[in-house]
Amino acid sequence: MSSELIRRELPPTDAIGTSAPSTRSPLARFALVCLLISWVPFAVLGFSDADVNRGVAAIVFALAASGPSLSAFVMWRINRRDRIRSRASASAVWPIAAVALGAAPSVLTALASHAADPTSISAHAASVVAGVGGPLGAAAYTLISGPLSEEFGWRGYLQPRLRLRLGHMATVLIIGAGWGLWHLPLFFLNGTGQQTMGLVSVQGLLFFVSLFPLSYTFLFVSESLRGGVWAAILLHASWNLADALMPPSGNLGALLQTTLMFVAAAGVAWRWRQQSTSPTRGGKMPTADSSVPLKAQRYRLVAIATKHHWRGFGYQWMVLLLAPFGFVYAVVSFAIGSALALVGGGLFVLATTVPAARAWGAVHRSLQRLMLIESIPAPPPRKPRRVHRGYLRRGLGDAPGWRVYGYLVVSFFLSVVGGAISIALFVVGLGLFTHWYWSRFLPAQQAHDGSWHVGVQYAPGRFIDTPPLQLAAAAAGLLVLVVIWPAIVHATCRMHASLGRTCLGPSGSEQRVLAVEASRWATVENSDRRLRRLERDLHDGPQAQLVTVALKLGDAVDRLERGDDPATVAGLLKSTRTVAQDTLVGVRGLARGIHPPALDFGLDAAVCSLAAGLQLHSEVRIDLPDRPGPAIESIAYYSIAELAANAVKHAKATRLSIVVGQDTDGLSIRVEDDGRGGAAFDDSTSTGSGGLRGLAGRLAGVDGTISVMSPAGGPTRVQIYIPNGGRA
Amino acid sequence: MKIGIAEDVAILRDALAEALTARGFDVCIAVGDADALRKEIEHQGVPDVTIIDVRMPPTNSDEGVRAAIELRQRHPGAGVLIFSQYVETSHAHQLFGSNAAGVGYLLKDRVGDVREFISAIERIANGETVLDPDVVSALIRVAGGRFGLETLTPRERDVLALMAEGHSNTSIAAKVSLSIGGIEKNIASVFTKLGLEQSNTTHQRVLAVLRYLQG
Repeated sequence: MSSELIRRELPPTDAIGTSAPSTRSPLARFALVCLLISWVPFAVLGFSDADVNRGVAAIVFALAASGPSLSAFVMWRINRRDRIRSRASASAVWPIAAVALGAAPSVLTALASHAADPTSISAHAASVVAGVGGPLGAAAYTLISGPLSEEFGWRGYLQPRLRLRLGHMATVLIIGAGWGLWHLPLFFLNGTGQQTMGLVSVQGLLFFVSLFPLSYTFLFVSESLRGGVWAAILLHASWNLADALMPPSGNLGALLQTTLMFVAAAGVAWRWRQQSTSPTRGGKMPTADSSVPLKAQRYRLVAIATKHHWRGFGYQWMVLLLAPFGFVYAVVSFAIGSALALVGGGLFVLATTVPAARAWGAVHRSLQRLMLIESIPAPPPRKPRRVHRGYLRRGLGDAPGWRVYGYLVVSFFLSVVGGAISIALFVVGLGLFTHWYWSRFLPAQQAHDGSWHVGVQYAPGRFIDTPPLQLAAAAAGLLVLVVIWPAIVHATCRMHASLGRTCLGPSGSEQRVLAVEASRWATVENSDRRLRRLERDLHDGPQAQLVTVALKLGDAVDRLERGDDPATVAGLLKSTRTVAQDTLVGVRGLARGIHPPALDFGLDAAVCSLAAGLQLHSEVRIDLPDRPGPAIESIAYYSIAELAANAVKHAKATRLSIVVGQDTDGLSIRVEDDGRGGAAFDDSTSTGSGGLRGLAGRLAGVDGTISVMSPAGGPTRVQIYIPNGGRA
Repeated sequence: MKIGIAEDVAILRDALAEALTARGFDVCIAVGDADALRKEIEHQGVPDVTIIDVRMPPTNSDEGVRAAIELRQRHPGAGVLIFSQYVETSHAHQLFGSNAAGVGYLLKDRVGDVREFISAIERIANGETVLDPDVVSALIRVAGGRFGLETLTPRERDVLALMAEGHSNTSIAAKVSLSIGGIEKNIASVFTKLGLEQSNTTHQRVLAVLRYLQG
């Protein structure tokens, strides 16, 4: 299970991306609706002890089992403007991959465990098909039960939202866990496959474990291969069909099957990484370029040797030691505060301890920064006293403090459970790996058949005491140490980091406030910069020219009075006229810089006249079905003018292409030139690249984004997006 | 007379050079920034008067003033005419503080009257101090609240300003249409009211007035 993590966070001011849509409350609503539709009927069926394969119970069960997809439809129905969907691309790759990845684990397991008698596989498959009414029945059954009834929910609704918000790894973990949780009641219903396995059994346990690699494979076919929800349905169907057709192969078979699923997920992850590092990767999100992942740490398959892994393990120890104290702080202060609230004074306790919890937040933030290389911005400082009057209101209304409370409680459980699992895996892995050595010191044990063994008993009457078994134990230990343990450490640390980002940093609205503040500053600085530039242009241009005109005229008057040669004076006056005309041109240019008159006739007219005045070959394509508002038009015009000026002045380009398009949300601009490239968001104001920074600042003021691709040597390609922001 | 010009706007620099050359001046240096001026002076020697624009590249702030101060430190006798687009009093102290002989500060507007301009250059070359009337009135405005100024009559204020600009008694008398005797009386009154030491030469008088105005 390896994954590339893309984190979204407060974008820097020079590249403000559109923030990820808030997905929390729709997700909670989805979960609620899903549980209502599924678990209530499940509970009824469970208490009435009905067989879910017969009569009315079968219909109720089928409806309840469709809970995930039904709730997705409900959610889409409620919010029709919701535009996050996983769309399928037309391709032959994802269908093949989905079928192969779905069927492979079951088929390979069956082949391995029935290698002695391959005909029994086909015989079993035939009997199953006959049992559900022929091939058509089998197809219908495998397609509806599971794929159609669940996938619209899991992969159609939940997955894209989680991925946008949390990245790959967390998505897989959450969907895997949620998926397992949803299945829980099925273990108590008569006639389900889960009941046959039993909850507390090897197969039951493996069922839950297998959902995680499976979720990853699902994520891969639907997102990376761009199969969308349909790929998920196909994969699920393929999986169900193969699972149903292949004969059962017991606990060992289930173990093999789960292992194969992990192998498949690992293979898929490897492939994904290859893909994402290859340059042909097309940005799915329009802002993918501009939101730079701060530190996209990659998990490596053999991670035990990495610093990253050991830092993570160290972090687990640190939080394991810290967690009890934080937990006690939060719980005890809350208990005392709420208990005393009835008597009086309790609220004062909380009004003190809640803001004070920010210190805990700071400690955990620094710990994460130090050991997880996860820098979480601090929440905004406490509101000044004049904003919130009263000690109580100020203390109790401190949202960041309350979030730290939540963090202390949740992270306590995460630290204890994650730490315990991680340490256990470490011990078990190390123990198995070195079993061949230390097992000789164990006392001999007697099996049921009376034989004596020296070694760990791994099943009733079975001991690791033969060389092949020792080797297998060492291999298993190595697998745990090198693959499973680091994976768990990595996953736990990601969860810690994710929890930290949610609870210890600024909240969504606070982040927006910070972003607005940043963009306001950018706007102020930018307009200041523009005024300075205008003043300098006036000083160096028209002012100096008019001084020259005055000087030349004075010179001419003086010469006439002195009685100089009229021809000389005429020459002087002619050159004065030239300067005056140049002044006029300069003033006109400056006025156009303040507001181009052509902009009154629309952006296309203004850009065309701009392009016509450029000293290079330009190609303009503007497609604007709706005329944008004047503010948008003006910013779009200046962006293009600035980029065109850069192309001429700095890039020494000979060709320029300007493309302006429009969608319902805003305006997209692409300006490309064939110049020498190397444009960057420099801070220097003396060179033109400072203009690029000013442009980014101006765009930030309207929540626009800019992404610049300008390798040294060129070409330069700049993509700008200006959202309407509700203004038509 | 040898003239140097440091002005970053080329057309203005050329026009200045042309007007001065036509009137018999030897424009030996015409450059666009302070560094070039420094090099040319090393190369060609110090001109009698160097006209320096305040704002020049690279930072377009006060390169010209700094170049002028540096030039005066190296060559105390060299005439310097600061040439500015705006009235700025903040540099006056540095410029006129220690030795104001042969220092001028004119707004670019003045070039329209070529004769005045030429005479200003000549006065600077003679070691006089030339201040733009606008700069003087700005200095008086800045000094506004200082004790003594408000006791002056309007006429005495005019005389003070003209003194600061570097005019002689005769010239002041012509400007305010008074007899020389009347002017002398006014000047004496100004000096008494402001508590200044009586000075005999025009130049010393300018310095005294400037010192007073700058506090």
